[in-house]
Parts: sequence; C-alpha cells; structure tokens
Amino acid sequence: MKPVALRHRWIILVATVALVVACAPAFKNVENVTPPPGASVDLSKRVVVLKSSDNPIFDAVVETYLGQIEHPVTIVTMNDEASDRAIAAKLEEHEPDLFLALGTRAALVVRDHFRQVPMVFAMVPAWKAHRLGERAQVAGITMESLASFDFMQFKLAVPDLRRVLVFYNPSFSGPFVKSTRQEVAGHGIELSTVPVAGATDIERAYREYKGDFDAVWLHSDPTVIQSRAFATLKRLVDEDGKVIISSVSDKFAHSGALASVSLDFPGLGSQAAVLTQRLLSDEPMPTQERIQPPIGGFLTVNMEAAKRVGLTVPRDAFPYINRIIGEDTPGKASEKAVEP
Amino acid sequence: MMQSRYNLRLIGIALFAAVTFNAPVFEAQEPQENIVFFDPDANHQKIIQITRWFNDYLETTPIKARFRPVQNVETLWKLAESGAASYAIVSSQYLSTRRGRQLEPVLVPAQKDDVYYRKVLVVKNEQMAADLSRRTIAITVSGQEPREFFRDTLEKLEKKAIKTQDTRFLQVKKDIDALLALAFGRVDAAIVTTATFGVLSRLNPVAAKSFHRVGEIDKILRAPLCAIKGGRGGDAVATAALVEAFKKMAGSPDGEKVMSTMAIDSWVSFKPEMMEGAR
Repeated sequence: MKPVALRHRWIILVATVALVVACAPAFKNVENVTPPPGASVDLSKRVVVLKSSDNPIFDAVVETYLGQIEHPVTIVTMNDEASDRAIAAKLEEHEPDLFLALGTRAALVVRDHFRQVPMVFAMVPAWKAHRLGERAQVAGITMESLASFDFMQFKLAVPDLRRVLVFYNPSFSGPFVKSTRQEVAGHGIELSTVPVAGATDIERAYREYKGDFDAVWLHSDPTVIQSRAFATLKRLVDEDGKVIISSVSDKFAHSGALASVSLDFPGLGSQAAVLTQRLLSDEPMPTQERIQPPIGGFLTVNMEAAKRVGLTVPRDAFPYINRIIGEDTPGKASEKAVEP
Repeated sequence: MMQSRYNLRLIGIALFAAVTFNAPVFEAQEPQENIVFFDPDANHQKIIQITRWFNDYLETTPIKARFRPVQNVETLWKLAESGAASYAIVSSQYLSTRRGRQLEPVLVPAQKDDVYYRKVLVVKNEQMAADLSRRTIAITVSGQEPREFFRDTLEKLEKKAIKTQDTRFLQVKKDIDALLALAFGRVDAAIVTTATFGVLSRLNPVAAKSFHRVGEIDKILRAPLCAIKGGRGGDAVATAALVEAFKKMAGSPDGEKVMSTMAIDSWVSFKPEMMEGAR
C-alpha cells in the first residue's frame, strides 16, 4: 500500500491536469471573415472552418477556400490542450450551417458532436477508418489521388511511359494496388506488381523480377517509401538506367526520382469550396461525388534524373510542370531550385 | 628644384591613383536595366527557374539587364515609380489601370504568331454546351481576384447564350489539370487554352476525341514587355537594344527554355490594335 502522502501527490497531479484541460481555452485563434460586397448567396448560412492545429499547411487550403466562398466564415484553430467536448461546446456558439474540417481531429470533433451539421473534410489520412463517409451530409476530399490522373501527369515528362513496376506490402496496400492496376490499364499503363515483406526485401524482389519496365512507381505504402527502401531502389534503378516516379511527395523528386505528383493544397481549398456550395444548396450528391480524390496535382520534374537516362522532357510539357529541378543542358552546373 | 620634382611626382601618383581606383567605380556605375516581372499565377519554383535561364540568356547579349521577378504588383509599381526598374513584363490587364499608364508596351510574346491566349469552353456531354446551371467548370484563374474573375467569366458565358444559374468554378493550377478533371468526370466542363488540347491528345487521345469545344470564351493578350515611362525605359537607344535581344531569344538554349516554359515561341512588336477585343 502506497503511503498517504504519495497518494495525495497523485491526486493533486491528476486534478491539476484536469483543471488545466478544463480551463484551457478551446481555441488558439478565431477569425471572422465577412462576406464580400455583392454576394449572391444566402448570407444567413454560416460556415465554420475548423483547423486541427495551426499547421501552416492548412492555411494554403483556407486561402483558396475563402477566395471562393461568399457566406460569412469563421476560422477556428483548435487548441491542442483543450478537450474535444470543450471545443464542441464553444463551436456551438457560432451556430454553424456547415463545417470545413481540416485534419483528423477537427473532422472527428464534428463527426461526434455535430451529427446534424453538414461537413466537408480534407487532409484526413484515414477517413475510411474514421467512418467519415457514412452520413449523406458529409463530403470530403481524400488524401489519395487518382492513380490514372497521376500517370497522365507523369506522361507529360515521359511520353513513352507504358510499363511500370510497383513494389508493395500486401498487408498495407494489397487491395489498392490491385484496383490501381485495373484502373491504369484503361489508360495504356501496364502495372507489374511485386509484393515485398519489408524494406529489406526490396533488393531481392527487384533482382528476381525478370520483366522489363520503364519506371518504378512509388505510392503511399509505408514499407516502400521509407528512406532506406528509397535509397535501395534508387541505387538499383540507377544501375539499370531506369527511373523512379512518385505519387507521394515531391521530396522524392528532390532526392533523385524523375518526377513526383504531390497534393496541390490551394487546389484542395477550391475543391472544398465547390463541395460546400453543393451541400449548402441541398443538392443531392452520389457517394462517389461526395467523397472524391484531389483534383489536380503538383508535378515536379527532376531534369538531372532525366538527363542521367538520356530522356528528353518535351518542351511543350514545360508550361504544365509546376516545378523543374536541375538542368538538362550538358555542361551546365546542376543547381537545385530553392525558395526565394 | 628637388621640391618641384617631388611635387610633380606626387601629382603623378595622385593622378594614377585617381584613374586606377575610379575606373571600377565608373564601370560599376554603368547602367543596368532591371526588367521586373510579375505573374500572379506562376509558382515560386517555376519563377526561380525562368529567372535563372532569363539572366543566363541576358548575359550572352550586349545589354546590361537583369530579370527580376516580384511577388506582388505593388512592388512592381514601387520599383517603377522609384526609377529602380526600367522595363516590366506584366499581365496586359494592368495596362488599363491608372498606374498602368506609366507602362508603354513594346513587345508582345506570341505562339505560332498568335499574341493571345485563347480560352475555349470544353464539355464532354454536348447537351451541357447550352446549359451549365448547377454544373462545375474547371478553370485556371489569372491576374484577378477569383470571385471577380468568376463573375467576368460567367458574363462571357452568358453572352454566348449559355445558362449559368448557380454555376460553380473549380480553380486548378494548370490547364491540363482542368482537362484531366473533365476527362475523369470530376467536373462538367473546362475552360482552357487551345494549346492544351495538343498536349492532351498526346497524353490521352481517347479523352481528347470525346470532348466538344463549344467556343472561344476569352482572348487575353499575352503579358507584354513594357518600357517604364520617365526612367531609362524612356531611352530609345536602350529600348531598341533590349528589343533586339528579346527578338533573338529563341536562338539561344537558355532563351529557348525561357520561352518554352512561358509557352511562347517569339516576341513581336506591340501594336495598339492588339488591345481591341482582348482582356
């Protein structure tokens, strides 16, 4: 049995934490945005943009969203230290007609505390696991882009792209890879799938693969996108004069992949605005339209990687590439682009 | 006698020093033209790349000029008004504004001799060609605040007798995204430049064939090179040299890359009538 003094100390500690949580302000920040003059919508309908945190990545989404929404908008940043219940109680004061929930925590607060209020969610990685798509009044943008869409972007840089090799861990992305294979086949892409048990298995699987291919595709499989796995793949494809293309993050293009298509955050804001307009006008939406992949993507092309394999990126593709890294002219210094 | 020789030597040394040490100062004072560039829609990385190629190209020409992108139009006006910039490449929409009057268009970029971006409405379902009510159009927004841009676009659609009750717009970064969104059934229509069609035909010929071009919705004069009145931009000799350098741009590897990225293939002389009927 613990001494009485020690037990008291624990009680005091728990009580203090509870007090801090209870007293913590629900929001880090609240900002009201008044409708622009000449708005043509029902101004009595109010939108609350709920940000899970003050991560600046949310701001890029909000900026485009506000550029399109004509309803009165309140932007709320949740406080990490406040309880969900306290946040929900404060949100009720704003009497929202619709929420734009950015990030998982914001989406879950709305899901659990505002069952009757329409919601548009974005930047929620595991939306299916959180059962966000079950209510008809919920619309959202997934984090995973449509693979065919990404492959069309890759073809801007690699017009002859046809045979693509993908490594995947069946326990993480088996069904996704299977459906993607069928999906991209309709667009002239032959996807060869190679299961791997872990990052250390990639070299064996690569060497045992006997087919030919134009590029290795990275998708959001945690086994394959870890830095060790990428380094292995990069070394192997370099030896064979092949390239890597990525649908995950532009950091792979910066690290030597030929091209990457990543999320276009301002584009997500516009997409969320369209979904908001549809929900607020009570327009019926089929499920596949309510929950949709991101439209558009941020295409980064690494000219050094292209030069390494003797690939010429078509000049007519240049206006459609969002970011170009390095030089494709022999003899020129390779200089990586940096933010001004 | 000795004293006068000493004085002469001192004067000689002083003159030599003055000439020697002032020479680089004079050289540094040789005027350098700043060509300011403002494109509200280009992303930073792309501008960095264009800037590098542009300046590499300018270094190969006899003119002393630097390409200098700015992040907002206010900075451009400040540089113009303070005399820190002599030339500007800026969206033609600014020419008709009050502060745009200080800009004298000199050259206009062209692609296949066309100095305009021509935007066409594209639909997949021909029935939508006349009625886009409660439909979503994918579009890139250029040079304007989005809501204002959307209002203008709706007016243009209505002038073409297209119904636009509660029509929505989806902003995308590049025209090809708008066409791909249409191809994948994510939007009902797209407004894109005609040049984008050629690219889509290469990427997805089946989709390209399934689209219906309804008509030209917008005609925008490409961003001209302007001399800034009142400063060195008013110097006819300097401007003529710059014009010559721009006209030869396509002949250089760096210049060609600048032009490809800007989707142009030549610079042509500006004529006032180019502004007629254009945005």
